[in-house]
Amino acid sequence: MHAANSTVEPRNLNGNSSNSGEHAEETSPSNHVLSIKEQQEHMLYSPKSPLLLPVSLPSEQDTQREGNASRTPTEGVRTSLSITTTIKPFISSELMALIKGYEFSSISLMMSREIRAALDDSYNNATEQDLESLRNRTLWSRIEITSGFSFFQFFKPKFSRSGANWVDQFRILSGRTFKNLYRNPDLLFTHYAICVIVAVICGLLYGKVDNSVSGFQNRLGVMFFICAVFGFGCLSSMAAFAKERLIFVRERANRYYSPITYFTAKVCLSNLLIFLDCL
Amino acid sequence: MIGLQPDFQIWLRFLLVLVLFNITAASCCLAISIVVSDQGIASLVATLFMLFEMLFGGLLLNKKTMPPSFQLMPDLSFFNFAFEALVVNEVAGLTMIDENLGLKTEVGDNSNLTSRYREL
Repeated sequence: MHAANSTVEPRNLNGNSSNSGEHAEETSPSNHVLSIKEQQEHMLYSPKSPLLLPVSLPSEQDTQREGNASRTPTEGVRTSLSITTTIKPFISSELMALIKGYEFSSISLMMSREIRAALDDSYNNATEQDLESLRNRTLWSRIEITSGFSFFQFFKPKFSRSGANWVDQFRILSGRTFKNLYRNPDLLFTHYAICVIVAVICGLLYGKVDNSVSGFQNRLGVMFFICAVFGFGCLSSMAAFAKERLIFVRERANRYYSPITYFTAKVCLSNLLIFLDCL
Repeated sequence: MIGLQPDFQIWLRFLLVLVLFNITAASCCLAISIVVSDQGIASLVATLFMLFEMLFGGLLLNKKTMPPSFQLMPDLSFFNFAFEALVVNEVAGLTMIDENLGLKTEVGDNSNLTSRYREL
């Protein structure tokens, strides 16, 4: 019933099928099933053309069976694939209840309206070439495409005029990185405090260096020590990359921005911080 | 407080070298953290990398007596360049007064100190 490459055995915490029997989950043991982790990694790390998606799209029977229940209240445009058709039903029933509750809530309704208004706006401003390229390139045919325009603008094949150009990307990314930095006041204060303390210690230890051999040894030593302090202090900035790594990978998989802009913004801001450190 | 040379230009050069060195070190650490995804391993690798840079930085090893197979290593170490620049900037023009057995002898222009680092 489902496409064989991505079915998963239902892992129900409550022991009952969470989709109330609408899909009979059967995985034939001879088929190779991709685990969720493998699916995610495939989506995140493979060089992604916007057409290839390893998760199975809902088959025809599903959409027809669930069609009325899962349509968002905004008629016509399905602005998001309802989660009840795409996520394999190992979601527990409480979570499913929450999801369905949101789907039919007024907040979701308002958001869909706003999204549709924005879509209409941009459709009215879109050139014919945009529509043509979209019509020809999206294979996600189960989405209803009204007026030839899909909600999934992220899957444009390249950064065309409706994506942000790299200067804007750089500006936005820099702003975000900077906010991350100054919202972390402990790190900044520690950096400055360490600089002051090291300076005081160096001053007291080395005193007034004179021109004898020991003075020259002192000069060499203090230079080396300052370099060492800065060199090891840079290790603290490593944590910044590690924490954002997962976020970055997801964003890159969806082609929000190219990696070079991310890298440049981050490097520049880290260097700025360290430059202030020197002073 | 330390009593290094108070000249303004020397201080500016000192600052420039420090800033460049800092930026280099930060870029190296960031590169390591990109390559290695696990944070513990990344900090270990970065620490070792910094230590190797310091080893070939010029203070802990005498460059002239290094075995020939390692002759290229100081050129790969950015510590080396920063340290050399700082020291040359600081002591150029100073004379070292050597005190031996109560006698103060001027060893003269300490080009012997700076020539240790300059490979002419």
